[in-house]
Amino acid sequence: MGENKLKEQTYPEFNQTIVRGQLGNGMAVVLIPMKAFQKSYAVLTTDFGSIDQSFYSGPNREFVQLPAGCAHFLEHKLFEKEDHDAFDLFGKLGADSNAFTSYTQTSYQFSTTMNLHQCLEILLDFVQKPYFSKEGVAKEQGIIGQEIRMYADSPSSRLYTGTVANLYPHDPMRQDIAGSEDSIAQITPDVLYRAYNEFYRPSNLKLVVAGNIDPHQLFEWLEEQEAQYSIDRAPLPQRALKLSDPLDSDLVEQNQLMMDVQRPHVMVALRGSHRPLDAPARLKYRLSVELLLEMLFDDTTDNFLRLYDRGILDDSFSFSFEMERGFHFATWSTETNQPRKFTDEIRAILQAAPDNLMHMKGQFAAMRRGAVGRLVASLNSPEMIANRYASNLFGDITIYDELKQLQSLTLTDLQTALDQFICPAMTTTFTIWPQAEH
Amino acid sequence: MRYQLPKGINLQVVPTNKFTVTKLLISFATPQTMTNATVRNLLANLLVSGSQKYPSQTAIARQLANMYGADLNAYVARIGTAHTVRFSLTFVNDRFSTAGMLKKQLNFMSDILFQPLLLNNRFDQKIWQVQKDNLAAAYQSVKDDKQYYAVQQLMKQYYCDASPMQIPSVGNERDLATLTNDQTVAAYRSMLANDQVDILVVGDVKPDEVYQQVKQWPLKERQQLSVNNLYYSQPSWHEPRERTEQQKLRQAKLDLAYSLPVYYGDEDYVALVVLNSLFGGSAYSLMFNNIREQESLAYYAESSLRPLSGHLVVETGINGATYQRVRQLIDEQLSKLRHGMYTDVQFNQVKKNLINQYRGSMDSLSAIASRRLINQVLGVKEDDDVQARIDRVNRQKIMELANKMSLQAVFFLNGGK
Repeated sequence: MGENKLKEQTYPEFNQTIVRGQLGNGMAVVLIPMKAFQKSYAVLTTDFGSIDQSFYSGPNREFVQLPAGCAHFLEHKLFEKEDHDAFDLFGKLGADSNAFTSYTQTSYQFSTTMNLHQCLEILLDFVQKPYFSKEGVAKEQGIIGQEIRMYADSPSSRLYTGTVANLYPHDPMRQDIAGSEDSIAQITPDVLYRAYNEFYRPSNLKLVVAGNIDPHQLFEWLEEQEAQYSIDRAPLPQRALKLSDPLDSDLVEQNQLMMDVQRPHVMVALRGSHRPLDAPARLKYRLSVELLLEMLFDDTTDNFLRLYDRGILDDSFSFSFEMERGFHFATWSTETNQPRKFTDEIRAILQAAPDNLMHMKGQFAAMRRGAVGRLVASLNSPEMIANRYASNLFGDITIYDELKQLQSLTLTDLQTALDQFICPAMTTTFTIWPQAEH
Repeated sequence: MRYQLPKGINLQVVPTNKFTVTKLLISFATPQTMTNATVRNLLANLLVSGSQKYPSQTAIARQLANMYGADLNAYVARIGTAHTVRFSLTFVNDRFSTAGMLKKQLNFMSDILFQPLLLNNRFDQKIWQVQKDNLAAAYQSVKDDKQYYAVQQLMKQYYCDASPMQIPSVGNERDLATLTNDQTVAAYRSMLANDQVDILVVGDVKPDEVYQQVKQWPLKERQQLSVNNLYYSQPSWHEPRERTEQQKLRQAKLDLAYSLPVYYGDEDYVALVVLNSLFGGSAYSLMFNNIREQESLAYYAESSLRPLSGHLVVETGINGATYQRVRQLIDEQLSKLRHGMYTDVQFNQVKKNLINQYRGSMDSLSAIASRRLINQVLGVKEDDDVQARIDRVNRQKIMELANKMSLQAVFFLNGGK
């Protein structure tokens, strides 16, 4: 039955097959068999996250505004049903379940070494049969309120959210993914149903299962399972989110706060403005920027050693590149007694990068080889393989395609990425200072 | 596959092609003393920050990138009363890189261990100073982690005053302040000459190839640690030792330690694991459900085992004003264990979850390697029967073990001023 709808892709060098297809109701399915493993991991993702706060709905293009923190609140509440909690159902089978919300997606997941079908039934059931009540919403407002306060106590969390608010001062990213105690006070069952009905349609859901599975058999089983759920072909609402300043010039240059910390914490960030045309271009751009940042900042570089030896950064230093639907940025952070110097040094390295990159031909091959090796090492985790491309941002690309792309990158690609990402040089810095007296 | 190298040096190779990488794990073990933890922690950091052949952190990092992104780590940890300095090197298998990876990696490890950056019997002074400063900063940063801080204080309450177990395996600020370069070199020489060495390789390798190369390492015969001395026990306190500290915090911490003289490798060990999981060691536990979920009194409420030193630790993050209520509730959960007052559903849920976790750990190279290492150091056999053993644990056994628990220490880190 479903067989002819399946697309099968093989990666002989990794002895790996990936099977993908679409169920009758529109849900996308990706199956990644890993026969040697005991574990199976499943993740069901909707392309709906914390920044999707306003949209135009239906044929009349009704404008809808959701309170900040709605996607995350919905994620919490989806587990709870009228007479049970889905978390406990997984528990009875011995499985571990969890969920997470990011800026642009919400994912529900479990891992297990037994009872895979039963676990999948629970997953598909609880995500596709919402139950929101007044009492449940009220109780959750208390629980999430505690969560928001706990993050308010965490320097690393404050550093990150403060930095992102600097980067996008007029966009929903400036708000915490969980929202604020005030914004979640506006959430009602109606609000949740509204968001759910718009964004949890099967056509906006993607299920990825990696691990000890027979993909063809599993697809057929999923097809039968899903037949009981609605087939809703209505188009997705049109999201209102475009960056409020498409020229990217509205970023706040710096900000700070004081907290009970032993040493200052500082984060520098760079807002990207390049817009790749399609998924393959996006992947190439992401990999080029990531490798470029490694060549400029990782622990193999002279830059790192110089700053390390001068105590401007230490082992707490880290940097990352984040790419989401509609926006992307890089961050550098450390604990240091010289936060201003740290900021100046990061900026100086970025400024000098165009000149320096040309002289780094010798290091390039080793850096690329290192990046390839680390990606190969990550192939031992079903969670990692499934999560890496659980969203729609990169289309049908898998971690194995990523490996191929990475292997074929050239120094010229990095040069291009540098012009696109670093040269516009829109940076910001956020500092957390220790309080003078405890 | 086990190989006999000179006495006190133990090699085990576990060939498997399940993973894309191979892991090399090396442990240097010696009894922990009142003074050796800090210097050994600094030593671990120092050895991976430069060697003769790779004279800086950067040179080492470049070599690792060159070897297809190999991952090198050094750290300290305790196995019972033994203090271990560990080195871990994970590297991509030949079929995803080039032939001869194993040989290259073992040579690299040998350079790091046996050819450090020594000049005139001193570690390179600049690198030594930077690493010392970084360790001092790390001790500082740990103070921002109040959950960790509270457990450290609880352990000071729990252990006898003269016991080296009071000193954390990572060492402390006080010892670091007076530490010299000469003392660090002495600790290095002593580690190479006297520590029991356990070497473990898990991955896509031929055991004999590992053996042929490792046996050439400059390691001479030494004492093997006496297995029985690795398990720690102490006389019971007649009354629990209690202490309260005030700090300006939003969330207070209430931590408790119970003696529970059942040890890793004992017949009852698996039952002990089930007990812990039922008490506070999982999201299906009595503490999680009755203190966090039902009464909403704690942000976290959990228990963990110390199965080589005969005790169990409870950690909670609470509102300081609810101290009495939370203590009473923890007591009640223990009493439920002692009287078998929990449902079959709960009991089975906990057991199934443990079985699932155990089976899942077979998919993790790190979990396999560290379990094998600990078993090797302790002389404990690999247990192939874990699943059936978990199944067989009954209420009677849980009651029996719960009745052996005795409250020994309480530390309360109160919020507010």
